[in-house]
Amino acid sequence: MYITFRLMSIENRVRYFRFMRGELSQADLAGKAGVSRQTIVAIEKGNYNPSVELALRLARSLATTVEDLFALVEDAP
Amino acid sequence: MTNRTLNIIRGAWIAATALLAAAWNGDAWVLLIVLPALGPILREVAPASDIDERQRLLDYRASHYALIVTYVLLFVLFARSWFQLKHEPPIELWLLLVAPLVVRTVISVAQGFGVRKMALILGFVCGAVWLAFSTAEHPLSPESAVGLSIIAFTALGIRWPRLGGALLALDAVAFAIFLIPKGVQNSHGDWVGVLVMTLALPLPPLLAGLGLIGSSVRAAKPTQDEFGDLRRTT
Repeated sequence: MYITFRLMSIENRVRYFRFMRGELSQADLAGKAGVSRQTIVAIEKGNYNPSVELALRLARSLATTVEDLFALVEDAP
Repeated sequence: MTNRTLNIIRGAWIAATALLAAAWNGDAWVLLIVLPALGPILREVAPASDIDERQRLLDYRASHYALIVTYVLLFVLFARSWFQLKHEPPIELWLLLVAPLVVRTVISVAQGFGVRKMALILGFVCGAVWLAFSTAEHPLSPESAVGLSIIAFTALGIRWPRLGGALLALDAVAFAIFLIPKGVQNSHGDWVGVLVMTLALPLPPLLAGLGLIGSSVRAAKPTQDEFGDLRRTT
């Protein structure tokens, strides 16, 4: 049996939801989610993919769902 | 543990080393070499509560890169010893090369196949290596019996893990009690080197024994899932 891995990447809409929540600052979101501001910066830039736990905490802090916040997209070949 | 606590511990370590060096011997400064590893070691025991998962990942990555740099340096030192100095690398270099590889393999096997299989592999491999070296040196010597006993107790652990594990652990303790005083006595001044070697030899059978006992104790506990313990039918 062969397992084929397709190249996928995670896109996030953290910046969009911060804007939608009255331009919530990165520091405020970091405080709500219990992480450092640098971690929020890294997530927004796509340099760091959060764990399920952190994704859930971010979604709760932004009053949305994980599916709305993060999406799995197939990379172009 | 927070970063502040860690920095206090680091400061106390430096102060204690300085005091020891002033009061006893300048050689006490060697304790400062432990300082870079102090943080990672303490974090394994009590993870830092004031850093988030990304910062923890960066911390692990930094340690990983430090290990790679150490291995590159080891390669250079081995190459220098063989090609430039034309002599066998010292035992300390071999120890530095082998120890991280053994630790990595043991942890990978334990995580991939479970503690029981890791203990059995460790017991058989350690017994076989011991037997091979002792037989190569003096065929059918009392040293060969040690290797044979490790293999036999490990084999016993397949069917009776607690008995095999206990015998392996006892074997290791007896081995340490016998080897350490003898080794230090014949150390010719190099008691630190001999102590490290004599502690390193009983460690694998001890780990194998404790692993067998631990996995057996864990397996005896009822397993819980979202439906509760499936073995209880009432």
